[in-house]
Amino acid sequence: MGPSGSGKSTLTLCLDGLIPHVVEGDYSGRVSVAGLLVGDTPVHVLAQQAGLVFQDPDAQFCTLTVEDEVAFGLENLGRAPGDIEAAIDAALDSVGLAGYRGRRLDMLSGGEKQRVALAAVLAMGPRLLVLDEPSANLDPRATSELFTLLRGLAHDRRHTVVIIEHKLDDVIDWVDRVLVLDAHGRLLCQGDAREVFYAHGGALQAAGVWRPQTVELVTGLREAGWEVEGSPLGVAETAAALAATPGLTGRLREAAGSHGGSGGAPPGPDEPLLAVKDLTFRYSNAKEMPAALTEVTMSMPRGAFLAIAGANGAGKSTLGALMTGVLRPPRGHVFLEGEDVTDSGPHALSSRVGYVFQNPEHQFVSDTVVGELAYSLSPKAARKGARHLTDAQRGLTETWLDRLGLLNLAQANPFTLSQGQKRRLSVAALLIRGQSALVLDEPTLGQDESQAGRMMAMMQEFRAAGGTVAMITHDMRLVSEYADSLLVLSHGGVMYSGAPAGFFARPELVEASGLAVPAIGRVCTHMHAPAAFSNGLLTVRAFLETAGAGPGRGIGPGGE
Amino acid sequence: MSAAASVSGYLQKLNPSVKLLVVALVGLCLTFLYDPVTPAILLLVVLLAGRVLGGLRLWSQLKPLWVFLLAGIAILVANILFNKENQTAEAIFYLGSVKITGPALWAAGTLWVRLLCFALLSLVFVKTTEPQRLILSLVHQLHLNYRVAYGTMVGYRMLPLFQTDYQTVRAAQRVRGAREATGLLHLWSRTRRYTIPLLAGAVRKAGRVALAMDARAFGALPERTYRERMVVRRSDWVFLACAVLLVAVVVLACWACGIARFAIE
Repeated sequence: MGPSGSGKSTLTLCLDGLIPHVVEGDYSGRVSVAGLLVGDTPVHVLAQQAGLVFQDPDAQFCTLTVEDEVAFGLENLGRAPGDIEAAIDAALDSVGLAGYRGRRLDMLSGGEKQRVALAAVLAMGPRLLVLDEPSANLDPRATSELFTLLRGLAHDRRHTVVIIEHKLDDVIDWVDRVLVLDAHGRLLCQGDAREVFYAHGGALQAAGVWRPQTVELVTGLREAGWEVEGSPLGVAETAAALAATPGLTGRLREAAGSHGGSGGAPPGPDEPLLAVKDLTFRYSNAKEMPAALTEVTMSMPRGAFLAIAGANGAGKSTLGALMTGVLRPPRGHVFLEGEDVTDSGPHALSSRVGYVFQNPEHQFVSDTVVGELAYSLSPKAARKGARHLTDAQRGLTETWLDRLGLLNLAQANPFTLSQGQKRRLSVAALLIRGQSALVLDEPTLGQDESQAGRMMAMMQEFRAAGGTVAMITHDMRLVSEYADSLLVLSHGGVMYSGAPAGFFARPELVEASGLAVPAIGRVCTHMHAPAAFSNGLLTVRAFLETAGAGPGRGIGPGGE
Repeated sequence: MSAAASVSGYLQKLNPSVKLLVVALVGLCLTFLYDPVTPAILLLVVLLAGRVLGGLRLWSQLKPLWVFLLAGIAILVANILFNKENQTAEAIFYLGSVKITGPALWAAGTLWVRLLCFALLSLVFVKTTEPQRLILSLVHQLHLNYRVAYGTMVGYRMLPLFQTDYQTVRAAQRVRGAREATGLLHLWSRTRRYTIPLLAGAVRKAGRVALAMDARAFGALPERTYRERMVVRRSDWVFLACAVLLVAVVVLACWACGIARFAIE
């Protein structure tokens, strides 16, 4: 683990010899894998000891079909064709893709692709498996399937698994050791997972590293004076520890009676900013495919924070694109402040509702950071230089640069910024135009805790100034912490629309949608808490508020 | 191209290198023909082969050729205006003050039908050949360096990804309020705006794939094995012989009837 740019990926490349053999640079020190000194052992020998799975499956495939992909490494090693055939079957079998041999890679889902990537590595028989954020592009169900698979491999005592991961709550209960790097690529701490998270929790937080939500919860409860025993990791353990904490369950029950669901304030009754009615959409180049969206009805009230969730391919991005004029919606289905958006053209729509793409680089149009902001105010100024801006516009760009903390990087090329800075810049470049709403596609993907926190703080600020936010995300933690309403899509149709708590309280819906209940919600369920208080108790903050001060603080019960 | 994998006709099962050889031979033969009729007959033969042996629908073969209709018009205009025999030859008719001569029409027709025939040959080849098999066959039969061959295949695999990227970048920049300025003046700035994000993405992707290939021992040893080895079977030789024979018969028959003319005459 470690914040963005801390050298986690670099370290993985050192483990299988790509550094120093393929990637050049200054290299000193010793790395040894399975008794082999990496610096002295050729890559093809190391490849049989350490297998690497990268974040983006599309950027690691070398062939076109599943069987060829799995065979690729073995062919490179010069194995006999007969052995290769057997190895393909065994590898695919071990990742649960036995019937997939002849399938084309580009027709697979994200989760299947990642499993093929894993099989391709497993076929070479490594003892060490190194995975670099393998779940970054996967939806919650595919993530949990991948993790279950990895857990099985880690438990068969033949494989050692090294994984870089942000979604800690799903992996933490089978992790033996944790190694944390700091922002400068130095070792911050390492050791037993319990020790790292509980003894060094403060240091991790300061470094901007994600911690498991369960750990945050237990730490928070202790600070509030509850005496939680041990150092529980993972959902089941935490639930057991909390259930054993004297007085806690009682307090939660009490609070559930008086509270009655602490969802966000219900949005005002006035006309929604954006409304979608019975929208069915089919891509013109995919006529024979099922419609991307079928009869979707939703609305975005002014000042709302809406989350749009659903499995990969459920139509989230299509809906986002139609809401912002990136795609042209059919007539009579999308209304901006009560008016059909096709009347004024998609351009008018996108100047009111901005779309923040997943990859911020795609939206950059200028060579300089200041140019990005200037472009939004006046495209001419961006082409011909900032002197074409009016004084007021120049003032505005300065203010924004200051707010982004990029004043001293104003002349830098936006492509050279850090991932978090790029993202915030791309958002700022839309906000500076005075848009009243933003739709964000996976706003925190691949970011560390402090970057994600700053991004979301920016959104809170925007809302405080009267803005409306919709975000497309797989991250259930984000949904429960920030969104006040949730739209769940499944196969292009609306599966759920309403407060997030209402969705997570219905396990059968969560299951069918391919999403997952956030870790804190699962802790509550494990504690056999009555359904009434699982409502709203999905985040660390809500849990801590409901629990209130513990007996250790000496404040009597009822002191809310 | 995606149809190549799903259909499995006779042409699909042939060795790609042999098929490539046939395409090259027919193409070579075409370059020596100097009349519109013989290439037109060959065109029909290829079309029928695509339909009967390759299982390709006629329309799916003809539709992609529409671009060459435009090329045909360009060739016609060029010949009417610039054919060197225009001065000496008799006019068939006048279009305003422009003299239309027999040799001009003849040359235009020849070039056009030849072009169509080349295009259709390539099309049938591409539509009946799985890229993976072609690459393997190039390595096995034509002894292409496997590093080059696999590099090409990875590039091919990435093409649709780049296409998606291009569409995303276009949409992403439209959202920024970039009106699709269509003028020539804006062409430079627009190209630059699209190119930089696309290139940045492409370079990064290429780098990652290269690492992923290295991580799986690609290129580590001078020789690698192949799960599936492309071989030239007897049926491939039979196909080659039949194809050559058929083309020879068509050309000779045309020559005997006095239709065929040869460029080298």
